[in-house]
Amino acid sequence: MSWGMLFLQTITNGLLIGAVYALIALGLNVIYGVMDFINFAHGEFIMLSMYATYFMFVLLGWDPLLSLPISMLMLFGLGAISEIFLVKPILGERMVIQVFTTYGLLLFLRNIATFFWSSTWRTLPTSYSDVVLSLGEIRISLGYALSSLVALIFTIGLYMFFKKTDTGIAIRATSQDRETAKLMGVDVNKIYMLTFGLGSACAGVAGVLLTLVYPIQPEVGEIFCVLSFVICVVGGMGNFMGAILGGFLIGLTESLAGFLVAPAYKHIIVFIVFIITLLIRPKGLMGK
Amino acid sequence: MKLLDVDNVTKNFKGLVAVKNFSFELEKGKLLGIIGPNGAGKTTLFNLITGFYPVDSGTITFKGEDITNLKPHEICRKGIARTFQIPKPLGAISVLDNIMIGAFNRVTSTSKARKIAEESISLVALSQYGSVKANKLPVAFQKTLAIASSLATQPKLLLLDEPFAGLSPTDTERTLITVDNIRKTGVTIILIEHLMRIIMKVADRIVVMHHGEKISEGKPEEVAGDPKVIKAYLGEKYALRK
Amino acid sequence: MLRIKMLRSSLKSKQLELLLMTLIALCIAPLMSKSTYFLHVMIMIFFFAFANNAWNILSGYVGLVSFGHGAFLGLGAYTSTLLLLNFGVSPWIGMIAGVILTSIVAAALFLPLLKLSGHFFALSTIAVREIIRLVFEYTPYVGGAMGLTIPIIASSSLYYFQFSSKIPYYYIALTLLLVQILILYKMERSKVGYYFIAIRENEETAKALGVDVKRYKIIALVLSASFSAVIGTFYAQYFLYIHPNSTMGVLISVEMLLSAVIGGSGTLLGPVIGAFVLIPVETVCRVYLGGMWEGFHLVIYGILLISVSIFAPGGIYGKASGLLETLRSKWRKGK
Repeated sequence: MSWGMLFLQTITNGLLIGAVYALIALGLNVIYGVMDFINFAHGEFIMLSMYATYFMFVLLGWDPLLSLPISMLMLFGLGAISEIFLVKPILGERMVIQVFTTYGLLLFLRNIATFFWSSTWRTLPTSYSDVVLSLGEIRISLGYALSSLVALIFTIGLYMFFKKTDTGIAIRATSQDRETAKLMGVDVNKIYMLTFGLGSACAGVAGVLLTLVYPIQPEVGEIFCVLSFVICVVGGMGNFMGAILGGFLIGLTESLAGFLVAPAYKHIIVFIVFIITLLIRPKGLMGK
Repeated sequence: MKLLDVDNVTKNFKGLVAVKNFSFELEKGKLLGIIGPNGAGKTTLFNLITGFYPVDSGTITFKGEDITNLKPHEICRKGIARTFQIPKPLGAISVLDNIMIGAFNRVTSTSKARKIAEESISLVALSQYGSVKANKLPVAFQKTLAIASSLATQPKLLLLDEPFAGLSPTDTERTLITVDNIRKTGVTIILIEHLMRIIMKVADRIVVMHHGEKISEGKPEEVAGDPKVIKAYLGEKYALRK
Repeated sequence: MLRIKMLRSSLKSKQLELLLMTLIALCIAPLMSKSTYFLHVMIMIFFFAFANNAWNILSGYVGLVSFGHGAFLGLGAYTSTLLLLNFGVSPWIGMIAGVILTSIVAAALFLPLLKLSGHFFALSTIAVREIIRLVFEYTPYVGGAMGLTIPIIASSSLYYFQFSSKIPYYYIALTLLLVQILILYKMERSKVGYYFIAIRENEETAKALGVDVKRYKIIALVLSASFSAVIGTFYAQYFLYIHPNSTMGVLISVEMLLSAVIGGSGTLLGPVIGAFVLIPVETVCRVYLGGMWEGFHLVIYGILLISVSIFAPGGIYGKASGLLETLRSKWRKGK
């Protein structure tokens, strides 16, 4: 394979995983945009969804893509419940307290998962996870292709939801001006619950898709959570398009860094990109 | 003696002119009132003098020294203190501790800082609230606290941003006395105010701001009679009343 | 009035008495119990109290929440260990070298981040810590992912900071903690301490009152990092084995803040109280639940963290002193 082809292959891989990253970051960013709140347990939500998918596959034989709606709904519920019991009481509190509430949730979920499911790595062998498609010289694993396709579909769906539906418009209105939205008769409490649910559902869907390409482990949330923060900051905090742009960008950076430097160093380079962005464009590429 | 000289200062925000070719001088020991309708650029002017915003052009001279674009803490050290329109007290600590933060501007020892703070707190008649947490104070008293804290930095010039806005008649009266007491200590004051009635009472001179520009300056009675002022400022009020 | 004053002064002397008694108890404890396990738990309490106090300077007082303090602890541990292994330098000198090096690295890497506020600072500290950790993991000269083992050089030597018994470690840790608390006590009551809190409460107001916000953030950062480096050397000499994950990883970074947050961040005694609560919880979990429940104490920590955030935002110390205050005022009214 020529260097040029390898390079193209690298770009393709970056874009494919970037689509999933975008969806993860979108979940975090939607919550931040509307509620000015960061869910540190976002990665743990992904982890829970991965385990749900895994067990539905192993115990019931359900294919991840078929059980996807169930995982998504479960995570929506988990998000909504967390919002009611954990987030609502501390909204408007000092930042430190906001951070540590969801950080407590993170510790709880991660370690309860370790306790129940041990820290062994598990993989989910679907019938198609080993299939490789060839596009000329470029090879794409079917798992990656499917996960990135479904992630894209969900992203577009979410976009349409915000653009076209009344609820979506109400959420956007709340994100732009909470007080005015309240005056216009929007039930802000309900919007917050819905938003948190939706953001968590994104984590749910992303978790399902990640099982196709990534092994499952209780601590798997850590890297996805940090990566999604990075994506949001690079793309623009609270910005829908920012999360998508950032997702692809970080996917590409990761993959290119792995190719040009060494796979081991890919996260160092991603973090360096993150810090540089913070310093020269603290509001991100799409931030106002 | 000239204490402050603001010369031809201009500030833009993304193409919008907030303060335009603004100049004025201030004698030591005087109280200058700055009035003007909402959005006239009064607070921006304060932010320029105290270094919170850099100026685009022009110079600001304090005690014969160029202080243009110094950092806020450097300007505070030179002897200019300010309050904010909406008080932002250091909520988790006591009123006296708030004022001590100001006092540390001049001294390093905690006991000396406490002494200065105690002087400031009694000057603004807030002593009885000394040990109360600042965020437990009613907003009217938070405004008084802000004055006391900035006073504890031992300024030569004090900039008060709408200290009377939103106060009840009793609190207004109380604050008027406070301002008067501060004047008696020899501190020069610039005061932003919305209400003509109050500014007429306290100011030695008045500068009227409109759309970032100075449209009138003079003794209170001169300014009040200036047709430009009536049109720009009072005219708006009268129009509103009808 | 007089009675209240007397009451207050008697309360003060009661507090002092309590403090002295605690001190004496801590000093003679090793003589009473021969159990090495008890000593280990006490050492861990002192260790985490110290580490959380270090975190508390930057994050509790100044309000810049850091998830990256493991990097400072690790840098301290690695500096003294590498000096010891390669040049036979006493870890005590290595400790000083670690403080200097860590301060420089902290200033160089974290300084640009200080202007970030709130969530963004917290997030960026995760990234910086991870960069440092990964660099150590991929550098064979410093032991890579396997880390470094400190060989037994002497059975008991103050110069080499190595002892076969736990008792010297106990007294070293206790002394370090007491000295640190004394320094922090002075700090809290000085201009620096007041300025730290002013920055946390409102940066704009602080600036207007003459606080050089940037300068004091740097002071806090360097102080915080230095203390972390000191306890890093202690870690290395106590466990005689360090690797990037254990000294710079997520877990240690989180353990460097849990006691402070649960005990009461931004207060002098909060982190110490937190450590005295959390470490025994961990110990009980380990002893009674065994290896199968490995990490179960973290589940409890998580629950504690959530409960504290929602029900006692000032931590145990804040809640307790609040309760005491209401009791006192009720009692006073009753009189």
